[in-house]
Amino acid sequence: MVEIPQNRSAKVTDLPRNPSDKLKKDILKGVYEENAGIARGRPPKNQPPIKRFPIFYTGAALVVLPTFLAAYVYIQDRTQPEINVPQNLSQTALQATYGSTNNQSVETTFNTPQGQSASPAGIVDIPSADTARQPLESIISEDPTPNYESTSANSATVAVYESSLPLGVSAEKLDQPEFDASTINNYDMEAADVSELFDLKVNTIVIDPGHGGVDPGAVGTTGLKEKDVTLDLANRLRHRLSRDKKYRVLLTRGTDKRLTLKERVSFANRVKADLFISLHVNAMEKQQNAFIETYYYGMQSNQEKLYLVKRENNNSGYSTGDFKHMISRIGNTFKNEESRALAAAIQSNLYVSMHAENNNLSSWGIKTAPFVVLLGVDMPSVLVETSCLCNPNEEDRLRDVNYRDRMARYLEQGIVEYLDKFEPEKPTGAIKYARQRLEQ
Amino acid sequence: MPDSDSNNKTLSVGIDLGTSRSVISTSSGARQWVESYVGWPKDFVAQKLLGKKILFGADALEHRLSLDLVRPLARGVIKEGTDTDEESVKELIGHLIELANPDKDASIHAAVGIPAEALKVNRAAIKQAVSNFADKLIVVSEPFAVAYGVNALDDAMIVDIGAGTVDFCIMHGTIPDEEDQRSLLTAGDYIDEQLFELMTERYPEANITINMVRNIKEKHGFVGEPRKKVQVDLPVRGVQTAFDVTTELKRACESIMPAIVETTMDMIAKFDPEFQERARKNIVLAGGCSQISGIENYLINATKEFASCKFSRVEDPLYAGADGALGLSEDMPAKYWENI
Repeated sequence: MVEIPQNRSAKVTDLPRNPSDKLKKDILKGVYEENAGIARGRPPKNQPPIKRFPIFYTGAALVVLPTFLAAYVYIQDRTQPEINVPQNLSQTALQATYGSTNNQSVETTFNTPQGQSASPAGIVDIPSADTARQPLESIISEDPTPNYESTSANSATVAVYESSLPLGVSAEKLDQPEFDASTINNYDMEAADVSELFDLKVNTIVIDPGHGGVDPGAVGTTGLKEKDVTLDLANRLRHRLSRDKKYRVLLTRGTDKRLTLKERVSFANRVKADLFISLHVNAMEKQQNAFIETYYYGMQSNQEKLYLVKRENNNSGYSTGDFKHMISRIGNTFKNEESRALAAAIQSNLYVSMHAENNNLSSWGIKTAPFVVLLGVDMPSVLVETSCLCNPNEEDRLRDVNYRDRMARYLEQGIVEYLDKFEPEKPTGAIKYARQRLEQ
Repeated sequence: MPDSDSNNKTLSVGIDLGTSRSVISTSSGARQWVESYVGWPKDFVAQKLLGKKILFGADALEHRLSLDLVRPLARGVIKEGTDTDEESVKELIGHLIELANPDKDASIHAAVGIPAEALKVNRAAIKQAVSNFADKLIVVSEPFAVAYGVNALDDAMIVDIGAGTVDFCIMHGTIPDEEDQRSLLTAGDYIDEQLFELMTERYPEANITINMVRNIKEKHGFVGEPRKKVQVDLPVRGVQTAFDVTTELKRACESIMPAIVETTMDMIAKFDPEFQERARKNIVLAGGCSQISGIENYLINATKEFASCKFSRVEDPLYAGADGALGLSEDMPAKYWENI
């Protein structure tokens, strides 16, 4: 029998403690198992053991049945002719959706802006896959307007006519074994939230602290380095988002080491991240004022922005061959829409909270730019320029751990605001509407 | 009786491998500590001058200009992929065990407490380093070793405010896993950096080093309202001159407090709600920086707006971790040691 002394080293004042022999033995057994490499498990305190099978079947029934019913009601609702459609159908989206079909005729359905059904004669000219080899600027624009008139031999053709099929998806598309978010065109994305409709969840969040190792990123006038600020912010943000254990939060780098953009992208794709958030600190030539801006993927031509993009795209690690493959991702509308929503939530929360502390801080809003790191990842992604090292006062503030901690909190608020829509307790949009219909 | 006493040839050893100081306690009563610095002479001239191939602790610091000086657990972890750091951990542990002067025939059963972050990322490297000197070895996190030493095993939280990290560890009747532990990188070293910057800014004429600043913090560090002015003598062009550093010291020491307060409340929230009240009354402060004057009252006041908390300090922060690790080593049943 092992005799365990009770009062050794009990030097803490004013705290009577008297753990039982059994508790101490359990603890020692735990230490032993951990050090001997023996897998250990413990049931949560005061909770009965999980009965997996009944819960699984009950849970499956609870989830699948309402989802199916909701989707059915929604689909029925979507087929009603009174639904209005945004006039600008994104050429980008259609190009990405159908470009790979390469001269195959694909039928899809949407209604005209006036609420009238389009006729089969309405032919939309969509560039074929070959067009993707053109320079980016010629394919993508901020506000693309499709050419409803012309057709050409090099174009995949989309016939537009009324159909009872939901969501603007043709029968051929529905027969395809794999779900592709890009089979849903832009107007559907705007009218209905795809993540809600298909009950998509966010499980894994990857935070990417910009730069690192031999690449310091921007350097302030007193020597503060972007790589150090972003790493600290990322760690704080990870701790915050991990607190309620709802999400698996991973960092592309947890230490001061150099990673190519390709390595960052590969990591996020490999762990099947659901969100990708790249953290940076801005520093622009001829710009002394502090500002915050958030990017998601897209093209733009402002020279200053291109300089910034070029700087952040340094050390990408991608070859030209890789880039062709990446270009094919451009029109992923689901990713873009979600990225835009995430960017908006982060930008507004970060700016409003930080502006309360610093009146001179300005918001440059959410923007699109061709950052490689945003293009390469498969999931919704944003790049946040959290602050500005070109402003000496802001650099001073960034040295303050409390300031960085607050910045992490504001970033968290923005992300949580975006993630709230995934909460089953707070249905919005189509699902909310469908549930209301069911309840009636 | 503890198992170790049943076998005269067994020496139980508890080691606290800290960022700032490393400490050893043994079942034979030896208690030693050394500052966690390891230095190798830069060249053969330095080696001839120093007469040693390797120097440790204060000795290494004193001769740092002639040495390649390593602080292996800076920021709470062995730096990734650095052989020098791993080698220095090995040498440091060897030196500690040598200081304890064990019987040459004794079988050494060692329990080593290391920063919580190092436990996550460097466990294998540290085991490898210690295995050169110990026959049996277990590695645990520093705050857990402290918790074991002070019997705070259930419904308690340890806040170990060290030099490289502040480690939080909640205890709810089991060995803590990763989710029960958290580390902040703003700890004692961060205070030193802040104080160094603040003092340099205010007194640019004073000639100071980070080591001088660390000594000032350890001697006069405080949070909250100062009881008296803190005046220190600093050299100005070779002449010792008195400077008032009260404001700078307060700002630097308080710079790590908000993060500690917030993390404390976060960690308390991890307890089952029915046990949170007990946990709030059972928060133990350990580590060198827990000796900063006024820290208990500061934390009690700062957490007041959330809930009433009670903080207490270990009386001997230097040895609390090593004593706890020694306790683990002594209490571990022989049948467990056999399989480790």
